[in-house]
Amino acid sequence: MNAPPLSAEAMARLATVGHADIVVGIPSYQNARTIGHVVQAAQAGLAKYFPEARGVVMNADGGSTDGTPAVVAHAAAADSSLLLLRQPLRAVQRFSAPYHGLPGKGSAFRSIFFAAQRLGATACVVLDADLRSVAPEWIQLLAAPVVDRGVDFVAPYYLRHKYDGTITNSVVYPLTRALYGRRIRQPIGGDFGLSARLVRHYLEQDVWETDVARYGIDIWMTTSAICGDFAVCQSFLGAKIHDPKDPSADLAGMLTQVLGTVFRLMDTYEPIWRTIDGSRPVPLFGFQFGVGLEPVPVDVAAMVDHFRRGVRDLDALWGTIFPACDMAGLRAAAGLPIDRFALDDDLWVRLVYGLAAGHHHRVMDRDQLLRACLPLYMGRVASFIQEVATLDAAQVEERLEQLCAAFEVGKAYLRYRWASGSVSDDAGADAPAR
Amino acid sequence: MWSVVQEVLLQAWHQFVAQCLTVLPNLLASLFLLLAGLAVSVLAGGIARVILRRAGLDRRADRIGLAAWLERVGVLSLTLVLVRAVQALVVLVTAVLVLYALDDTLATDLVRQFLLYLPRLIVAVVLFAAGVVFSSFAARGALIGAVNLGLPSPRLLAASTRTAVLLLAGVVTLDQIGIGGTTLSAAFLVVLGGVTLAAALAVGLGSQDVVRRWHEERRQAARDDPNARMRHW
Repeated sequence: MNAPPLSAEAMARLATVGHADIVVGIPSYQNARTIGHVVQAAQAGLAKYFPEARGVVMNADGGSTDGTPAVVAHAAAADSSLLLLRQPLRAVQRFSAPYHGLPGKGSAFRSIFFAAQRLGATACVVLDADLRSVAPEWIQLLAAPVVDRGVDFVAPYYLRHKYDGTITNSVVYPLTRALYGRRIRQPIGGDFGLSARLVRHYLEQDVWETDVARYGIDIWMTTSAICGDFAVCQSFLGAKIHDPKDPSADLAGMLTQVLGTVFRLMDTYEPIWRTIDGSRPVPLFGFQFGVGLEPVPVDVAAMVDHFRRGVRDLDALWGTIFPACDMAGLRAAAGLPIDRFALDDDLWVRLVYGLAAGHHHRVMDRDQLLRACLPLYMGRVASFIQEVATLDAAQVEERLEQLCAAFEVGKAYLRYRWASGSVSDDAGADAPAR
Repeated sequence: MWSVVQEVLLQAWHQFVAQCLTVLPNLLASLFLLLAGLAVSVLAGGIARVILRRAGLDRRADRIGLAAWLERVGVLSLTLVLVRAVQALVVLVTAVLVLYALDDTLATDLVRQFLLYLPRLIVAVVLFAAGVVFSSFAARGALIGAVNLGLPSPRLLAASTRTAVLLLAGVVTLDQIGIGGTTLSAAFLVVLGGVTLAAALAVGLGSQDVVRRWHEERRQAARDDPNARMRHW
């Protein structure tokens, strides 16, 4: 943990730069197609909105072979006349450096945080490298609350298609909100603004050789900020549009890492979430506007089929995690025709809390437990898609509010399962009724 | 003549009685040891049952998949198995004591041979138990993976995985305790090699077009699958 997460070359480059007020970090791996645009937006944002500050754009690369670092090095500064500026843009320093550590976004973030701390930066902004909708304004929206308002953690607030971010909408947002009492809409958004104090806190934690270093970094950062003594807020960034995803990416692996991190953080922060009931809003900065979003094609039948396969073949395994009443609910859902398929909120809340408790009590190997829940997640996504197919964005948010309320109301069940470790039908006086 | 016969009979009777009187204390001692041993085994079984129930052994065995395997072989409770094992151990010790009471030379020889064999027996039990636990883990992993990938017959795949691991564990265990010797190992290697060769020939020579087509179809399905392009987070 004590070895610098950057190469000697990168360390020398940092020494050359010397000092920066704001560092914009962009982790990357095989992002040559899009990173140029992100770098340009970062440079323009720093120059336009923080003209007096010394800004640095740093790319932490995971060994790309498609020329990503070269694109960063040759990304031209934006034309100030096109940005309708009265004065020319000041050049912003930028460099690309490979990171050391476990392959994954967390290790990249660690190297960015290390660099920000070395340069004495007041604020650090991190952006995804595959963003197509990033704009210079994002830099202002993510850094200004830190620089001007003393905020430590700025989470993004995007407008996304209703079928995007289904892990966030189905699990991570409502669960994090119910656990820690703060309504951060995009806890695993990927684009954040951080204060020097929070960066120092992150670097001091011993998580960089764990799954946090892979896909768990975003939720770990958000949860640590909420549960620590840090000021948090959100900034409205508009639409979030990514480069098309690689279809071969392993959903089971990613779900395992994200949920695994969420559940492990529940072990760490148990004294905090146990005492919290309900939730309160988090300040939202930025001017809110509507956007048109690209359609997202989905195949509900395939999702329902995956769910049904799980009910048919993982029935015995799930029976060691969920009580008989929930298993009956799952079998009933599997028997529904596709056009009427639904996995209701109450059942979904009990399943998620049951998984969390099962993870805590190690009812089986944790990795296998999380992979076994993929059919359940697909069933929930199919149910959600069917329900919101004809709803607009505002109506979808209202629907998600109902889900969040169900998570908050059902928290007593989580406390019961967490303490007892029992999966017997909860007919006892202490078990919340279904 | 009758007096000689009488004398022989009396002599035989005296020798028999003398022999009985020589052996009788040993016999009585053995009987006492046997009865005492049986009583102790019942008591030890009772104590073991209480301790193991309090430790929740059956629940733990259920969690690691051992209970499911024991059910298949007709054992409903690991606690019961261990209680019987404790009782069997006490009875075994009793038997040894009885042997010592009857013939100490024979008993010493038997005990020495058993003690030399005991470490191998213990290692064999540990190996087989590890094999049972790992077979459950591997079968569960295969089941979950097959369900998530949409492979046909996931339960058959899981059962095959479990059987293969158990078979390997069984062969290693039998080899450890010296049953079957090289015959068993050779037979296992022949079967395994034959199955592997047959599968390689079937896929490599007889089914390469089928396998290639299957791969292409799966790759195309993944490319065409809209769900594969969803941004889940």
